[in-house]
Amino acid sequence: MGRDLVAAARAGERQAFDVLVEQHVDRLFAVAYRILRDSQAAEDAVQDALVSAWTELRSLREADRFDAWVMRILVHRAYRETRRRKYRGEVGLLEMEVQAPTDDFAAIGDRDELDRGFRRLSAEHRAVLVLTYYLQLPTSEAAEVLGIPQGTVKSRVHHAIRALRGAIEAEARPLPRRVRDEL
Amino acid sequence: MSGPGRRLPKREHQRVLGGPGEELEKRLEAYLEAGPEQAPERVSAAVRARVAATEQRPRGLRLLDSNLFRVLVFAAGTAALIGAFAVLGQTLRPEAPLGSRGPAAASQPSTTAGRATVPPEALQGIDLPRPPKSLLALDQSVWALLDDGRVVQLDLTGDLLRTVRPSQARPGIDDRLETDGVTFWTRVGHSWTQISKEGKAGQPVQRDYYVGPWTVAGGVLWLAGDNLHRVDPAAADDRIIPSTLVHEMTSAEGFAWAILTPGSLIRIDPGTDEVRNIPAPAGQPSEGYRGAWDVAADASGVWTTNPSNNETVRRFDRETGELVAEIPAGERGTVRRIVVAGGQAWALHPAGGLIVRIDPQTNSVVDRLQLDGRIRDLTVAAGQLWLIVDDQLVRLKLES
Repeated sequence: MGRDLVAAARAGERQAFDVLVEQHVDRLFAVAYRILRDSQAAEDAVQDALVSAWTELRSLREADRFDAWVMRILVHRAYRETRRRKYRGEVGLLEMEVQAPTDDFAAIGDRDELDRGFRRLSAEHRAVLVLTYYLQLPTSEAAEVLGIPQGTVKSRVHHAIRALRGAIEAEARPLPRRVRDEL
Repeated sequence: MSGPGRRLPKREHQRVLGGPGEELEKRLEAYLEAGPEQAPERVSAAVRARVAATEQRPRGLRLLDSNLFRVLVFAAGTAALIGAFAVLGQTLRPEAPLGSRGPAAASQPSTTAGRATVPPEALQGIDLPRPPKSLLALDQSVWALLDDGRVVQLDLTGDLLRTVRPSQARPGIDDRLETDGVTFWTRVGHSWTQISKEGKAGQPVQRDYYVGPWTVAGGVLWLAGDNLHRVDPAAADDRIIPSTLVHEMTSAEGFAWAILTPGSLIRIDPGTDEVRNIPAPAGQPSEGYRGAWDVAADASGVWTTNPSNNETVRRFDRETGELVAEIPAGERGTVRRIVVAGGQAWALHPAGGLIVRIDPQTNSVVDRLQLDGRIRDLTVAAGQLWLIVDDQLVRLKLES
């Protein structure tokens, strides 16, 4: 079914592509949001990725690989979106997540701490963590999506976790006196 | 788990990521689970509208949307820039007198050793029960750590002699073998075990704190993570050595060597815990992006790769810490890892499949071998190069 849809879309049938969009848009948005931590940026990245997928669909050789292929385009759009916002000075934008009503203060505090640490990571580190911990893709598929060797995926996960740990600890450390005096 | 997408079975996922016990990893999973899983309806609508708009454009203009067009524009722009710089360079370069040589050419060792592509048939494959992760040559044996945590001993013909399971710990992504020259240790996840040359495994040392780089020197384990730990298994002692974050570690001749995160090199004396900074070569930065990346050591000295410093390999005297040689080893491929084995230094570009052999007698590049595949580890035994290429153990006969 999916293969037929991809083949039809590649042949130029827009309706077939619309179905593919409906099938993939939620997953792409969920991933883009988790990499970018910003709804508007995630919407922009998903739109750009899907429009790009439409214009580039002829270059997709294997219809079976559509999932990984479109996810790869999305990840690159997310990188680009990160850079674009950085140049525009929009790095500091923080979007608060709606907390579930059952959350207690400790859980909220824990999530805040993790959120601040996660936002300090590079887009490449956030992407590899989202693919491995959220989508839980096997290393081989994460490598295909990111366009890097499997060993690099593993080392990137390692360094991302390490950077996350460092970022959380840096958040938790008291500021040096000189810095505090400047505040 | 309620997130979309195809997922690994839990056990496989934990094996790949290095174990379920990591509190941070559990917190990260929970954190990523929270958040929207459905795109607002306007996203699909906007995509449909934009796709329809591209359809309405004339076919010629639609070509402008394609990546092929962008690549062509980029290539044309790059070619124009290169041409402009070449013309400018020819115009500004002073003419050198005939027969003269530039100062750089006179002072630097030769790097002109050609790159030889190793044909697949030159590699002799050795079958193992599971894919290997790390290699070590000790006396007349080669030891390999497998991805399920077992360690196998091979004779020099590649025949399997024995299998050891040092611990029941779950394998991690940083597992590897390390030797102090007498015995060797294996890391499996959060567990370290000493193994004798006869294949006897000692009592595992388990630590639940995060450990990245590690080594063994002076009978002591050096575990680097958020802190640098000195773990003496015999005395059940675990102490923190004041240090900044460690990027990589190795050991040789009784000393532990570490590259700190800024790129500087230190030597630690396990007897006294004295930490000695190795100064930068004269006139060159040793820290930051031009500092060291990987470190290896043996009797010939301490070797570091410096990929951001003209892809050089530096050799230091292991007693005095003085710079002995700076060897330009890179050639259109960044040499990152360094291994010393079989009396020679081997600089590797693991992802690019490149091996650069350096002769310590002349401090020069002897040859460059290009393999088809990712090099995961390397050692030398019986005049042969033993390599893990992708997931396969292979041997390659060395030209003297």
